[in-house]
Amino acid sequence: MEPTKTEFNVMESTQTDYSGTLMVEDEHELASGERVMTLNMGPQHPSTHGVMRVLLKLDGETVIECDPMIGYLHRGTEKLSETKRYAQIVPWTDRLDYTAAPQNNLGYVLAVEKLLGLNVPERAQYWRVIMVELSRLASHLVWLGTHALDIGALSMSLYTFREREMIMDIFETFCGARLTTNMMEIGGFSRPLPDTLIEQIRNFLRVFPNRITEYTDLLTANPIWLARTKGVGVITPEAATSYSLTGACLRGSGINYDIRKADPYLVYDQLDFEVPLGQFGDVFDRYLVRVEEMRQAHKIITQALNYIEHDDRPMMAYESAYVMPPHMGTMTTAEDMQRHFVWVIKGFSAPIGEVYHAIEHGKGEFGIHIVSDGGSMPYRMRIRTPDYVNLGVLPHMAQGAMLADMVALIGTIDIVLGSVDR
Amino acid sequence: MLDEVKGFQVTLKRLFAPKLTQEYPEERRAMMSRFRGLPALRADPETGEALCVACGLCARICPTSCLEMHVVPSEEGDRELGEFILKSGRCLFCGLCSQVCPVDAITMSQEYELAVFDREGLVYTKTELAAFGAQGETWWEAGVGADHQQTNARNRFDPNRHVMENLRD
Ligand code: SF4
Ligand code: SF4
Repeated sequence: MEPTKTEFNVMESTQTDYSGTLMVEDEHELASGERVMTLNMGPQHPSTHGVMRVLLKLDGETVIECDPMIGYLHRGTEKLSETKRYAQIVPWTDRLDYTAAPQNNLGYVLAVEKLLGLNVPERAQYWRVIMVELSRLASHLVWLGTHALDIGALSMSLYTFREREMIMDIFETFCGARLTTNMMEIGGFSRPLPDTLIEQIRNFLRVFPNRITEYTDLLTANPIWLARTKGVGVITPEAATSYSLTGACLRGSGINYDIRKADPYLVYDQLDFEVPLGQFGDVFDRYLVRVEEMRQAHKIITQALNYIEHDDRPMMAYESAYVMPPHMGTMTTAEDMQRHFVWVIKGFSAPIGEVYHAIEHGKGEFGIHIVSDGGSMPYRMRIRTPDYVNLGVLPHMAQGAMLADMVALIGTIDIVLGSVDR
Repeated sequence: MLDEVKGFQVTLKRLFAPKLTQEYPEERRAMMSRFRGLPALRADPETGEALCVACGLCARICPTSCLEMHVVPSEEGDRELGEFILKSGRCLFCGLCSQVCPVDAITMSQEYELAVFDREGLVYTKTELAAFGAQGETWWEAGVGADHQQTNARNRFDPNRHVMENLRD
């Protein structure tokens, strides 16, 4: 069918609408006598870490105003969760922040366990800590590699991805997948540990401290790196709190808030680690904070592994209708088989109520809010992802920055668009 | 000044270190024994018969509803599996199907080269799935030694406990 004249006009008007929420008019007179220039960075820009468009208003090379436009990777995870039974939602959480799937899994299962009042055995809690800290390392390594790559240190990503590969191998041994791990289960772990797992983690722990030294040797004294990061993108402590930043963006400005210390979950209160803080709140400080967090994560994994290595207690909460019955039981006894069928086909009925549980994700506070109406699926599930909230500070940082620094500013927030758009 | 030279030291050292990358189609990395590839149907190692009892649990737990089962009456007046279809274009490779199967009839195979030329090729039938997985172990049991299976089998099995106690309705 031939498009009518009006249809055609409608299409045209939506295509040329670049206004966003920016305040500065194109006709605005600048002090320099130049005109304002509107520039789109993205949606497919290599430094936007996914698909994001940043709308910029420029005076020459200086950014007057910017507006990040998101939603290109929106998959409706929150709405989707309302149609899935609790155990089915775990694989969907992998796909939020795909560089740190175990941490998303953990945030979700902890929220559900809080709703159910389920106690997870100590051994499973330690293994969760080990896997989550490995995943924090993986997430920081991706960040360091790509951030340095954006700023111009091209070879950095080769070094960081080398160690990340070791972590991915550990995940693959443990659960069978590298990125979309679907690792955590409500109630603990139902699968036995593979034989080679502990040896693999030990190998990794042995080489990793030297590798961190390599990164810092390559970057910390590199004059180009210093010139591109020091004094750039300063976030004052006041701005950091008023924009609700969390994670390294907040701690880089010197505010001591880490959920692992402030409101400990799992067994973090029994582990010895420090929370690194920045001084000036610039891109360089956030880099130092994240590198130090990697050292601390190494320390946590070592402690947890030393404690749990020779343990052979069960890893799954049992005697509960909320978790899958033991596999041997399902295959041999009628009670367990019936429970198993009910668990799979009907799911379990969660208590009526509302919970919010937050964890310290590699990127900041990752929280899940579940409203339960007593059914086997959440009535409403809200996901608070750290990078979505942290991204809000970009317009503030970008004001008055140079166009070339935009990539450093986007990189320093550590965003993954899968997690921003959900 | 000395600090600035350090970076070059690292690069120089790497120049003579062994190569870590692999040239993929020629060199293949061995997958971990627990690797989750395409879901596949297992067969009894002795008789070669398919293990599936057509209970439908796998199709029920699948978060993307990508498994389709057809149950037909069997000659003994029982029920048995007719066609079993996996629409792999929707599969998340999450492994839930194989985790809930009460008879370990479905497993995650080591198959990962799944690119096809048209969408029809993404639909796998019972025969094709059986060809991938007939000989396979259950994926989470592979790579676990016998002693491990005893001590930390999926939540330890104790036949004497009272299971009905905590059941909610
Ligand atoms: S692996 Fe997951 S998505 Fe794929 S068929 Fe099994 S349950 Fe469904
Ligand atoms: S859960 Fe196992 S036995 Fe039941 S239908 Fe699926 S493959 Fe067959």
